[in-house]
Amino acid sequence: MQERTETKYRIDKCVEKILFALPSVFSILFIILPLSIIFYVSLCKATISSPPYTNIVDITDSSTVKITLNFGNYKKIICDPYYILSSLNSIFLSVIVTIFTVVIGLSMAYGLYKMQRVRKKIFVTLIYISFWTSFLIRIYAWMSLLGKNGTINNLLMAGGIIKHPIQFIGNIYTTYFGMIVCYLPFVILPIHSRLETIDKIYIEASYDLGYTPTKTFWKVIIPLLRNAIITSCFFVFSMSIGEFAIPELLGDSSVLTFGKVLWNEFFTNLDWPMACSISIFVIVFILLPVYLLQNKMKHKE
Amino acid sequence: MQNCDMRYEPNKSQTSTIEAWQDVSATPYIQVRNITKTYGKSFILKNISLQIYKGEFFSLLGESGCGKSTLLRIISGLDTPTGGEILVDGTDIVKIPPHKRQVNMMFQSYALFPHMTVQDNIIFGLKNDKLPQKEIDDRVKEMLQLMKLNGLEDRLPSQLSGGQKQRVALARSLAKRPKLLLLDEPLAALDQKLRERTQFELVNIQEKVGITFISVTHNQEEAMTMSTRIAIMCDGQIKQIGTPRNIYEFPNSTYVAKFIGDINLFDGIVVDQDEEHIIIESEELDCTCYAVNTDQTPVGSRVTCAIRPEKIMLSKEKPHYNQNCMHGIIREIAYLGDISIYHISIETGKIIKVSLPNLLRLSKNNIVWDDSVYLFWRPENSIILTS
Repeated sequence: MQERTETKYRIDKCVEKILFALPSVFSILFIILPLSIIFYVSLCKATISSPPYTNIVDITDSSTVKITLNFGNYKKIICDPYYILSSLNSIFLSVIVTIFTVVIGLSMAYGLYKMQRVRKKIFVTLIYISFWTSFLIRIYAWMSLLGKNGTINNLLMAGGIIKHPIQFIGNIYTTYFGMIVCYLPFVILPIHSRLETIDKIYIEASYDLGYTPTKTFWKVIIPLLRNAIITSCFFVFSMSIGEFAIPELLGDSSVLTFGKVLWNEFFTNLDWPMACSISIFVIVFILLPVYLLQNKMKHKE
Repeated sequence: MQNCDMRYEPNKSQTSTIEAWQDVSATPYIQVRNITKTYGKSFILKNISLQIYKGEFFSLLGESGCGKSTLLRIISGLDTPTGGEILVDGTDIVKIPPHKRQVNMMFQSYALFPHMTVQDNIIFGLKNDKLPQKEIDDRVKEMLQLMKLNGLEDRLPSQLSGGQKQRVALARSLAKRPKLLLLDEPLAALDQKLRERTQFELVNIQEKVGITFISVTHNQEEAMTMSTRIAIMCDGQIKQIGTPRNIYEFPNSTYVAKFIGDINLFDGIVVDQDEEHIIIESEELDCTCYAVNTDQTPVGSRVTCAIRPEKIMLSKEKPHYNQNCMHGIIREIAYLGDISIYHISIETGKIIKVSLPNLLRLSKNNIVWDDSVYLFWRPENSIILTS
């Protein structure tokens, strides 16, 4: 009997170890390994072959091993105006989108928080439904709404408000619009779930200490939401920095961004090492610092 | 052994000075008039009226769900009453939003802002009042001193102990110098020892700042220790208002008598009366019960006779007087250190509780299990209840 419980205990321990190991296995297999490959390719040179890059390690004969590291791509990203322009464009676009998405998302989350129970449930479900649909499908839906023969133009013309259809698509504002709409759930849901955990007693205490509801929002609720706001800023920023599909399909695809440049290098120029360098550059020099910054800005709870 | 010279003096206070609530000419500082609160069809508060005087430490005491917290929230403005009015210093505050009332609340869970330090929490309410910086600094300093919080200014609430949090919460609400401070279960989150100490501290602080306090509690010991007066609440109504002593010694109903302290109750009928006494006969009692005649209960009325356990005396020999004297057998003894509680079964089968102080350290108690004893009490100590 005792032996049996002991075996059972050992099996439990084993299962526990496997479960604990899973995240590390996952991150090695699907994050670190691919990133290492990308980093490796970024240090190669492009050639016309299959795969279209040279080897770093070259064994010329039995006694010499030749290692060629090519940092030229990184230099290009920093020095070449073409790439500098695309960096600046991407960062500008991301900052604008982040600000608008977070401000709109925050007010929507607060609106949800203030709603009555039944209504709140309906709206939260609606947001989840839009979250579940693939974002490509959502973009195609917007395309058919905003297109030249789209629903909105047709309605406006039928209502006699406009005579000729408006060119919505292919416009930088539509890029902003599409990105904001797509990323809103990433802001509303975390902020709303944080809001729900805030004890109403803090709000009451603030009223009691002489603060109007508006002042309470700024002085108590916003500071308590600080971490959630910073996290959702990072979410939106990191998603929009590499965005390709939305500007391409909905907005002005001529604007150079990381996504656009990367696509060009990879599919048009067949310059895999350059494309990989851009990826690594974005991850190491833009997303990593922003990530560290957001961690630093958060309150320790 | 016991003070046998207790007189029946319901109208005389323990001190010779006249307290505000006894002074007919005094105007109450806070007047709660016919406050009613309903949720749908159910009543939370039914026509509550209270008069509280300046500088009082008033307690609302009742079981959970009796409406005491709702009443407090209505006074603070966090809840709105269905009807009635509340006057503070002569002005009706029911329609004033909570942030404009000069009434502050100390919350049961303290509600200290977790993202602010102790100092910022105390300053929070002052900053909004547009006071000069010097005034703010002075008040914070004063509060830190008063609450013994020096050295903790830069801590976050999560780094404080329960007692410290409680003092910060008190400091935060007192710093605004409100006309009235509301305390929602102020000591409920503290452990027993700390609670006892804090009770006295709270009373001292209240005397120092001179602000009127209204406290809500379900702990009768807390209410008895701290309050000038207590209102006993039940089912959204006030059962009795009085000083702790008055409520304990002269409860006006069986509910209050049972709610405060321990008590022995007997149902009976008044069978006879003379100038001084009424005589009650009860099936539960082995003897006729003598009580003081207050002309309230004529012969034939149904009454409940109540006697506090500490008012009953025990003796192994038959005492010399025969009023209120019974014979019984000790069934249980609970030794509590300072007192012992005896459960005595009398001949009708009823168990009577008696408590006696343990006066001598070394003496082995001469009353033990299964002893046959006489229990007796003075007629002044019979409480006659009609409701």
